[in-house]
Amino acid sequence: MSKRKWIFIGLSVVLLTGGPFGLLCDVKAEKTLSFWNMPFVTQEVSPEYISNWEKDIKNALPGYKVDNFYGPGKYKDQRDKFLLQAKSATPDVIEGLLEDTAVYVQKGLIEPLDSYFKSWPESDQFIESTLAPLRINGKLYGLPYNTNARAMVYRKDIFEKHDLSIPQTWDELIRTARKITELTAKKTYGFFVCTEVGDPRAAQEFISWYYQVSKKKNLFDVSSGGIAFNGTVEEFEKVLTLYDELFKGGDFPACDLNVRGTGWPVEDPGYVAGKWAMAPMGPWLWGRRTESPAAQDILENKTAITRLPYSPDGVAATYLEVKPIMMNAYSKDKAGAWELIKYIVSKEKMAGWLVDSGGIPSRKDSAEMDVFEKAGIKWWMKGFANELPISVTMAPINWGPVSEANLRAVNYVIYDKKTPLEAAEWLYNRIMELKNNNEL
Amino acid sequence: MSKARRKIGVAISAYTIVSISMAFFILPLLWIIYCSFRTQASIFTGKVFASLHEFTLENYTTILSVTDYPTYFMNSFKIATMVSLLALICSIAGAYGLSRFKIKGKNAIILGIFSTQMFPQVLLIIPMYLIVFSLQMLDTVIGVVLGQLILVLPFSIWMLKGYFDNIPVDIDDSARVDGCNIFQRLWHIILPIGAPGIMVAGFFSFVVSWGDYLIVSIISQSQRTATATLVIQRLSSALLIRWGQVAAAAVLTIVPTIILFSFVQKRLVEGLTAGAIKE
Amino acid sequence: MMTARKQQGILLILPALVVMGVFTVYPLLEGIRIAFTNKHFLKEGVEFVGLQNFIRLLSDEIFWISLYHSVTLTVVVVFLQFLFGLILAWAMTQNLPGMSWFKSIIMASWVIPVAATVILFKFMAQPDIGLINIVFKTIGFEELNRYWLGDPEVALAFIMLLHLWRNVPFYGVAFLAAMQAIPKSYYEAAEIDGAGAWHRFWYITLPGIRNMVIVMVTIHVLWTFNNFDFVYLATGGGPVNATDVLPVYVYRQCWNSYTIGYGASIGTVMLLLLMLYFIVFIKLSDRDNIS
Repeated sequence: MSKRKWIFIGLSVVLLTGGPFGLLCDVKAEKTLSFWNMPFVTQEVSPEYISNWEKDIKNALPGYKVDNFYGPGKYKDQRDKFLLQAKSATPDVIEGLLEDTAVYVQKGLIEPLDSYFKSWPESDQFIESTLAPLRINGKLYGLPYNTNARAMVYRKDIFEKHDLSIPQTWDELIRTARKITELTAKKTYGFFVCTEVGDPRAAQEFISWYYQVSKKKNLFDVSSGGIAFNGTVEEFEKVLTLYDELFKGGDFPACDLNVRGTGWPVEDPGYVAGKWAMAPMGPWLWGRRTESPAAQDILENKTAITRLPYSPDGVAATYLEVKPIMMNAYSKDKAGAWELIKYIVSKEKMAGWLVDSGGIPSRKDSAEMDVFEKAGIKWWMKGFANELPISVTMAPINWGPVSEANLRAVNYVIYDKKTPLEAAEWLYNRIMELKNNNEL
Repeated sequence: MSKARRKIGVAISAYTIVSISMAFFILPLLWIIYCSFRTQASIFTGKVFASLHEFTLENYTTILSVTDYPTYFMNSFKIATMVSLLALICSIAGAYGLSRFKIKGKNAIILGIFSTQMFPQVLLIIPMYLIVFSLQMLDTVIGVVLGQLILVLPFSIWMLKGYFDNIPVDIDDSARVDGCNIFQRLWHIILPIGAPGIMVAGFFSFVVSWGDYLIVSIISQSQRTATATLVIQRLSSALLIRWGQVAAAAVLTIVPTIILFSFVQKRLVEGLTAGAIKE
Repeated sequence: MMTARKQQGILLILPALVVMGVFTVYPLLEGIRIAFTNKHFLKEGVEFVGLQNFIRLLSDEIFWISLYHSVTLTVVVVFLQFLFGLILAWAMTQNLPGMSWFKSIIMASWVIPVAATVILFKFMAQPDIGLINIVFKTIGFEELNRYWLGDPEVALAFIMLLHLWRNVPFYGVAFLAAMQAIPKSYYEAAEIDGAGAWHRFWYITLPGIRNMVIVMVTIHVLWTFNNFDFVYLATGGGPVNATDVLPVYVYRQCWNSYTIGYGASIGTVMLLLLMLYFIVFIKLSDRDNIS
């Protein structure tokens, strides 16, 4: 009886403190700001950077506590949740993709930053070409912190060993990739491409191929007259045929059939683990050096960067990424949110973030900091910066359903459910349907 | 066949079933605990047995510090205890009423309560979300608690009613004759005698709340209400490749339920099935 | 004129009824109402559209695929759970050394949060480093190495495995409890009459636990059909709809495409199906009882 009594007393104490006390804590107000971003959750930027960031913010923003939940962690989930709940004033500041900005602006969920930006002395440090994509309808809707153009990383050691030449067109890519798969007896597949529905990387890779076929014309054009859809069935068929060929090839396909339907969480670690010899990529891969000795070796010694192979009857083109930091239009403390944004894109914090996770800063003074040289990353960043001239951003529409449709079409093809032509027709019809239902 | 030979045959069959069950049900748990102490590189080798130097506590230290797991753990705890408490109050009262009192339409009520298990959770949360959003209770502990309450009430009431039914009514009646009112009867008779069943109902509510994902994922937005369950799901899809950390987080989420389980396991079966076994 | 006792009784069940009424019955009715509208999370302005959503359902390929998976999953899972639970319960009735220890730990898989279970199995299903593939490699079946949840042909079977892992012990201990409630005298009488072990099992044990079987099967049909967590957390319905079940499809319609009206209509269909099952089931067991 005694033991039971103690358990009972213990439980009651716990309940009485846990329950009502918990409620009390909710009631007690403290100035908090919340910041949702993907890299803090996925540890794309190192845990050390995050703890330093959290420590320094106490000095930078005294009197504020920054919530360390950082959001759902995947861009798609983050966007879905923000669209749904932005009006509840959480989060105050949100990081994301350019594609997110477009739809947030459409729904009136983010705050134009022009007035804040103009009165900030450091604003002239920002490189104009990174600000341009964030000016929608003449207003600046976010501050860029990370930019890159997609290139292709490849294992120069494998190419040297087997005396292979670097592929420049799609045909060369497919042939070389299949050869590598064969030469390494499938230990290292030739290529990898993301094919997961909902994966942001898969959507960006798809659009890179599209820009090559469309000769850098955007899939959509937004003007005051509305949204024009430029895609054609032939263009889609060409792109889908590429995907089809990549997963075919008999015994030695270019891409591993087991990884169909996966995205960046498989692409990146797989490359640094030596599972594929080529992959479309951006500078963030550098952050994976710490994953294992093999990863460090591959990234520092065995990798080189080249242009993404392009379609034979198209042009060289690729996807331009600009990642913005945005302010929730419904934030209850916009002044505080602005302070937080300034902290995130401050010279040191931006440089620190990008030298850790790999990216090109959008501030001149950050790019000039010697941390990049010290970390031995300058050659790496240059490889991607080279592609900036041929890169194209995505039009400011709601890409969620369009990207989903693009990838569904890809999945139909790679799982042999439809031919490229059938899938292209399906895709064309689906996008027309979205356009007519005003879901863009 | 001689009786002895038959007995041995039965024993072999029984032990075979037990071994297969142990391998199937318990081995995965041991595996994830084991892997939570291994380094990233060690897990990647794909070997089963790791040498001593491949063990580390770094998965746990990273999870506990960088992702601030303790906060979410406390949130889970807060929410689960509140849910258990409220569920127990409602279901003890309800079960007692249904068990002891002649209420018109009692059977209809019982059937009604039981049939709410039919209602698809995904359908219910749509209006629930809209209500919580408009009441501005989004991301509050109370919002999550109320949402999770409906998950546990029907089964708790049904379970406890069955349990109370098995307590002889004479005890109640003699107490009533002696002048005890309802609360006294509840406190002095039903609670002590029905303690095992009540413990099981509380345990059930706690475990269901602790493991709930759907409701908390919709209502929670920040570290005020994010629970351990939500966070481990987020971790596993975000940190995908860092299985050591994911395993550590999963183990931390499993441990409280196992601890509670050890307290109630003797009575678990009795409590859960009381309603189905008729004396 | 209500007696004081009757009043007390009603007062006792009032809190529970109120909570359930407000948080279960009201949302359900509201959910059904929304099914007849074109409500959208991001758009203002709701219109009553009658049966439009339901008509859309009929030609929706993915709805039928999800329905097929939901039904298949439920039927197979509940049946296998019943079968394995029975076997497990039989083993546990044997009075052998170590059995009581086994009985006390076997339900561990049920108390673990579903999210943790999914992580556990996702990890074990990983190509090259997952336990399942490691075991296959060791016993010589290396060509079976794959990401089990990413293969459209086996993903649904794998999800069934998850359900079984979680629930079979529950069935086992429940059946055990029911078996132990059967009076020993029945068995003794049968043995005296010369009935063999199988005969005893079929004519005494099974009918004796009939009540428990009905309860477990009913509850688990409902729980499995409505279950959202396993499929959503493990595969999100993929790959390419291979594991899509109705609850996950409803969730996607509401929280990814934001079309709540349509999502609610699918949810209503789910409710109708379960109600149908419930009614048929009650009628069948009533008839059994009477006969």
